[in-house]
Amino acid sequence: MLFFDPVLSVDSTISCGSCHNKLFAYSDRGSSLSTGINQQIGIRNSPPIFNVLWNKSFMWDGGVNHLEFMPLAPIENELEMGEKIKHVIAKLNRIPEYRNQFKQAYGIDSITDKYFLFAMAQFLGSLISANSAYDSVQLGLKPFSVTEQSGYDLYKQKCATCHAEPLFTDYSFRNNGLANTSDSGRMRITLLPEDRNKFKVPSLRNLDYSFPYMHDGRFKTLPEVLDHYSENIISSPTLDPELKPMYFSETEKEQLLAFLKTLNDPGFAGRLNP
Amino acid sequence: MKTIKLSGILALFIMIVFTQSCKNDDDNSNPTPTSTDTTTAHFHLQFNHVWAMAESPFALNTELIHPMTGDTMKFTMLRYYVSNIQVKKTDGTWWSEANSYHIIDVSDAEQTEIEVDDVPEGTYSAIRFMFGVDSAHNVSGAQDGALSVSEGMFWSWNNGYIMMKAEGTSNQVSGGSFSYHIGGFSGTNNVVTQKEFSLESSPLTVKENTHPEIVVKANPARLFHTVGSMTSLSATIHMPGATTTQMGKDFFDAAVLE
Ligand code: HEC
Ligand code: HEC
Repeated sequence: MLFFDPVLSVDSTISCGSCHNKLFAYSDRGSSLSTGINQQIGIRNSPPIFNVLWNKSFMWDGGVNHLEFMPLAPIENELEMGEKIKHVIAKLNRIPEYRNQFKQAYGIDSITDKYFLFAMAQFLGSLISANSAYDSVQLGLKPFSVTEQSGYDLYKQKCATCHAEPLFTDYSFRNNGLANTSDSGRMRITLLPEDRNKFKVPSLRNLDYSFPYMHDGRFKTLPEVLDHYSENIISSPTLDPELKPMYFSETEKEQLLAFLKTLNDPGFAGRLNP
Repeated sequence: MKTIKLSGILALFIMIVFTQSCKNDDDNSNPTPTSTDTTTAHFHLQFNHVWAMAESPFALNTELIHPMTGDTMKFTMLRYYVSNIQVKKTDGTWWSEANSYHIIDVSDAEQTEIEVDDVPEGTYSAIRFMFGVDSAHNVSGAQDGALSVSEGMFWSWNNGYIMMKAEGTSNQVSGGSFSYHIGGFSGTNNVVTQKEFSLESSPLTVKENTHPEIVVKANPARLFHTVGSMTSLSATIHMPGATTTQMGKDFFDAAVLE
């Protein structure tokens, strides 16, 4: 399987799966910034991968505009896999199993970059997470507990404008008031000053597996995230106009945490006992 | 209910994405409808490169002096996209080349000439094409031919085609070499340039067993026409932005029929 095959990296040490591990909802195994070839540390936190067919763009800054283009960025990034797509295709063509698989799937005798990208996009698109406790509640299969329900109500007041149901993101780029963000975010792509420090709103599904949090993985735990929204929102010219410190009580924090837990999909992350 | 809806939408989405993936091929291989009994032939679109006002011959790995800035430089690479070639028929409608994406590469004489095939025989009074890749094809996923990402003319971290690469060496830049990758397909940093040339004075006649040629003259010295000396530019520019947009536009706008 291409996604788990280190042949995609220049020295055959790193696969997509190195930074996107199933047990962590296809995010990195708990590190803030991920490690690529030659133990090099990247610039951003490796996000979980699920429900990407809905994404309007990819990456924290939206620099990738199509799922089929997604694999190019890590493959050609010198800190990540350090390869050239042309060379990757040449290597794959020397592996009979892959040639056979591509022949069966697409009827082609030799693998080309286009079909390689199609195949990767199919795999990424197949990573679907829609089996959380929240989903069961929505299906009417079971109710929220009282605490979860209070958390859900709070979420709808305080978080849903950006982390919109049912995917728990609206895919917009926003500044949620993190302190000391050296990464210019969306502005790196658009060059517009009004996009400084804006990042793509991430989903809130599977948070228990995709720690740490934010584009640079600065928060190790969800209570730290809630402390941020509660008290530590930093004002700046591009701060989202809707966002002000939320001053949660301890009870409210517990309610929110209980609700966020209902968004975990243990089956998706391979965490169900067989 | 939501989950059922969710998976329903998902299934639909997968189908759309995959059918679109397949549709890509058709789009690319679908020529403009021409009736099957028309005889077709070809013409050539040749790009000649000249240097500065004097229009001296331009070649890679040759020392050139920019008359306006005084910079000396040697180009090691000059590559750019030409796309969406169309010619105007006598009835005023346009014939469009199918899958019309080409890379002009000065390092290879064969790659400075485009053979446009399957053109219905007849007389044509104008030609138009684009420098660069139209915005739609910058956002439609994996493609092949000249648009294959293996051509090295695509930005992986900030998606979009590199419309033009100009690389070389110069004593005027720190480090001794320059590399300008020019691109951008939207907003203020859009370098895609539509060209149209009238052929009224010498119409293009496409006919079997003939090899008519249209020659466009392009002048790489124009890259520095507005931005000026390399001493005031970064030696390496590998993303869309005001400087490279200006450079690209100056070069593309100045191209004329020979
Ligand atoms: C060295 C670690 C590393 C490797 C290897 C890696 N990634 Fe990533 N991946 C990241 C990081 C970090 C980001 C976020 C980058 C950013 O936003 O700038 C990311 C982002 C993504 C995203 C975007 C998710 C979203 O919602 O926007 C997808 C999809 C993805 N990677 C797929 C892949 C695929 C496919 C491969 C293998 C070809 C791969 N990754 C290899 C670290 C890695
Ligand atoms: C104004 C829009 C907005 C609102 C309201 C908002 N967020 Fe966020 N949230 C963001 C953005 C943008 C990010 C990514 C910021 C970054 O990485 O720099 C984010 C990131 C997160 C993350 C990190 C996820 C990850 O995978 O790294 C969590 C958890 C989170 N928000 C929870 C919440 C909760 C809980 C609420 C309500 C109490 C909330 N957010 C309200 C915009 C918002």
